[in-house]
Amino acid sequence: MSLLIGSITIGLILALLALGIFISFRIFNFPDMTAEGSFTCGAATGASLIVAGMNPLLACLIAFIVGMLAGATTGVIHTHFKINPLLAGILVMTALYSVNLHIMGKSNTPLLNETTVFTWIERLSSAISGPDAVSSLLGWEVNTRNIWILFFCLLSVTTFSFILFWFFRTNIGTAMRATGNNDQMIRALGVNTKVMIIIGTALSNGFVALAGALLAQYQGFADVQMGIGMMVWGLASVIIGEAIINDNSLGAVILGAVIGSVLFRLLVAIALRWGLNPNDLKIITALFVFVALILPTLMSYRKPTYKRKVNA
Amino acid sequence: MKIRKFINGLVALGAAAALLLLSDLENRVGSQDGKEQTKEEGGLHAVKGRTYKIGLTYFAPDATMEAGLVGLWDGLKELGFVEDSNLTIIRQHANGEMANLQPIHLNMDNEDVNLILINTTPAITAAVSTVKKHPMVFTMTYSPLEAGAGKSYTDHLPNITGVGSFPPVEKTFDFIRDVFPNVKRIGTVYNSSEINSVKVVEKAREYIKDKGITLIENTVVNTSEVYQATYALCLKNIDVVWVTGDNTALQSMPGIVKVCKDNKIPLILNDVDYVEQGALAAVGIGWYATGKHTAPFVAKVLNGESPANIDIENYVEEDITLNQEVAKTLGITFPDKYIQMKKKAKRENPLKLCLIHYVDSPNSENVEKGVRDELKRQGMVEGTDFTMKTFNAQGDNATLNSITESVAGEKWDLIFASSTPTIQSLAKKIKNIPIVFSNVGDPVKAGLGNSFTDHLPNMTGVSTMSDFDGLVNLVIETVPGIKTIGTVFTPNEVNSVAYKDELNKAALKRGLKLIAAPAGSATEVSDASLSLVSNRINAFTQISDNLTASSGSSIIKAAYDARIPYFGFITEQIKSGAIAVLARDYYIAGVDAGKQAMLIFDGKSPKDIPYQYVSKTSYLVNPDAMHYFGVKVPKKYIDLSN
Repeated sequence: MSLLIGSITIGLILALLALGIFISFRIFNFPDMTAEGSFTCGAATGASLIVAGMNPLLACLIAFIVGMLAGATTGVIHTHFKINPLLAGILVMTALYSVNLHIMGKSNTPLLNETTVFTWIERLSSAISGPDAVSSLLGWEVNTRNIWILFFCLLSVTTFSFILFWFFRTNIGTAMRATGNNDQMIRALGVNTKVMIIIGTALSNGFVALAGALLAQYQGFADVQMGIGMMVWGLASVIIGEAIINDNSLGAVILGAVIGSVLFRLLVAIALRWGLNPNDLKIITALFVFVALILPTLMSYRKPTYKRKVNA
Repeated sequence: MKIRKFINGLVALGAAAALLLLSDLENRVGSQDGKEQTKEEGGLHAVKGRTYKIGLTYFAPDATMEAGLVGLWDGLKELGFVEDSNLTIIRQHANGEMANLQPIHLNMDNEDVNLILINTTPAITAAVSTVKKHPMVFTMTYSPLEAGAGKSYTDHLPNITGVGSFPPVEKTFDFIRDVFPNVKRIGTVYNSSEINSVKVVEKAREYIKDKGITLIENTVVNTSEVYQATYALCLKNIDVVWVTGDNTALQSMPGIVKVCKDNKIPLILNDVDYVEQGALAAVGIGWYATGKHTAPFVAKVLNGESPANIDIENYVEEDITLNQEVAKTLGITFPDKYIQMKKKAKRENPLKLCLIHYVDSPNSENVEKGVRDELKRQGMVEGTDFTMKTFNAQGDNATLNSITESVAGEKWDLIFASSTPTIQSLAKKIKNIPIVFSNVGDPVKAGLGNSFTDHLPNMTGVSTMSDFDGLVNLVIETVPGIKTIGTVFTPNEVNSVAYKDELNKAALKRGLKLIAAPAGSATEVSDASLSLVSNRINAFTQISDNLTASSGSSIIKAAYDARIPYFGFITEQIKSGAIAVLARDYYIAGVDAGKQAMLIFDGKSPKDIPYQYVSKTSYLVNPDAMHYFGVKVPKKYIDLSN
């Protein structure tokens, strides 16, 4: 049970990453490789500021802003210098590697004894239910503070999802979505698509960096290598979510990205829990994802086709 | 319509969660002890804000009682009952006199306690007839039923339950016959009014009946008679004296030991805690484990469950303790199987271990090999003594977190961590399981403590920081006129950066200049080494990190092409062509971690084991390479290399 709760928590933290990837990949059709760098960048910024004594929430906010700057850079490189979006992302991602080392001053910043957002929640938990309190869930014993942390992550992901949902229905948000769908049409309406793309990549990487900052606090350290592979996993989460929910409306895709991310972590956890040969972990994970992707299609084959009969 | 689509997603989530929970079923509290626990949710643990009072009665203070009570208090502590905090204990004993047992229980019954904890068989007999007002839990007894606790383990008096531990009588006599194949007459001393001893002796008599052995019994009624009775016994031409857990006899153990020693007769016991007083061996019960096993019984009754609902249990952790010193004076050697068994008897269940790698690299593989080899060397057999599960995050940070969560959800006896990110991630999540790390450059910088001695309480480990001063000295003495040295390093590895800084410090100390070239991936390593060559360094002093460990040969190749002497820190590089290597090996780092783990298995707290550097620095010299580069390693290092 604690594994379940832990996996959902990580899944929710990485859901912010998935939301970020969703913005660039789905809204703008922009395969943005910056995420690998901005994820670490957020973690490095957040961790370094916390070590310097800053309020962890403020540190998260600054990590978000630094991520936005990184994303905006990619956007500018793409729109103003006409560089292929993939390459623009790779350039910024590569550059961020050095930037991240400079931010931390070294390759790894421990946060074990620092006050992070999660330390606050732990304190809150011990204030309410006592230190090291244990709750019973369906017969499993679970540390109460882990439940609190889960709720916190759920709350923040819900909040951010609603903010995104709201944002993409405002005028500017709609223009941004239109930019991704049909940029000629929206240009004809007098919208500057370059600005839209820059805002979009900035927003996307802001979320990615925020996920990095939170994950660093959750796991107790920031490491310059922690972004490696994140882009792929974020993308996988978005696609899994889409495949399962199978609906193109805005709310559905946002929720899909979150569900996809959590589901993905659960699948990894199952692969781990089954205790297979550790070398096989990735192939098993890949298999699970494959199954998760084809399952909706398989299920729809078996659905009886009432509709046609009615029409006929 | 929309809602239906979301349901797909939620169903998928639910299914995955259920699958995960299904594989986690064994950790469910309810599944461990069946009916008692599912029924009494939380009944095992101390209720917050409540204070408890236990009345403790026993026959007399002795080593066995001591061991058992320590186990019991430890067990209760784990359940949240802590003496002097929320638990008060009133202790009374009968001073080793049967006659005192009745009054102390009468007295205890009038105390305001939540339960009376009864130890030793005679105390139970006295308690069942006198205690009326309070529930009772017993432990440290051979035969609770004979003492009057009930007819059977399930059908017992409603106000009493507990744990019995009948000693392994058959095993004791098998042991005696294995050690003394010609044994004919075995003598024993016990108090015939102790029902526990009577029962054990009865069983012994029956077991040896058809084995050509006679049991010579001398009974006593109180402690003062024991010495004489033993003395008389030794005059009856016996081969071995066997004393079971007779409370009266145990009280006079020094007397028994003295008589046996004077007469040069080996003494075999059933109580391991007395062996060190001078017995030859004990085949018996680990009372600490019995005490610990009793803790849940006490906890449940303290929380209000009626003893009537709890079955009595027989619990024996068999333990053979040999006294080699006494064996030597008597000229006895124990059969090998007991020496082997001694090791195993300590652990009935294999220790559950796991080892977590961050990335596949030669260094972490060597650490794993070292750990496994060391455990094997210490007589630990995989499968019977321990199981070891390995995890590998394969370089993926999110997977590392999932592994940490997965590991945190299980009960391990010990966790090995083979990299800095691994141990950091574990340190954040796991506070109560011992962790031993290795392949960590600087544990203090990694946030694992303030110093090597003042560190996180649940962990210890091995720092693989190399001997930089040593190598710098060697290089200076080997390469005449050396001014600059160079190394490739990996900025994204925390160890690598720390090593580079330390090497720089060591170089500055001896007036050398270090040029360090960064490399981020295997392909960049050879570029970096070529850049060092063009910087005209006088020697390569290659630090050891994960990247350059796996692609070190490209640096060596560059060194050979440019004829710049190459020195390193990794054993394998001596074969690839390094002139000299000063290795604090990752294999040895694993071995050292294994040694630390063994200390923890033996009961030492990780808190008291300081972090350490790899214990052995080996000097390796390659004469062919020396010849090729035209340098000569001073003789003193060559001598060290053997």
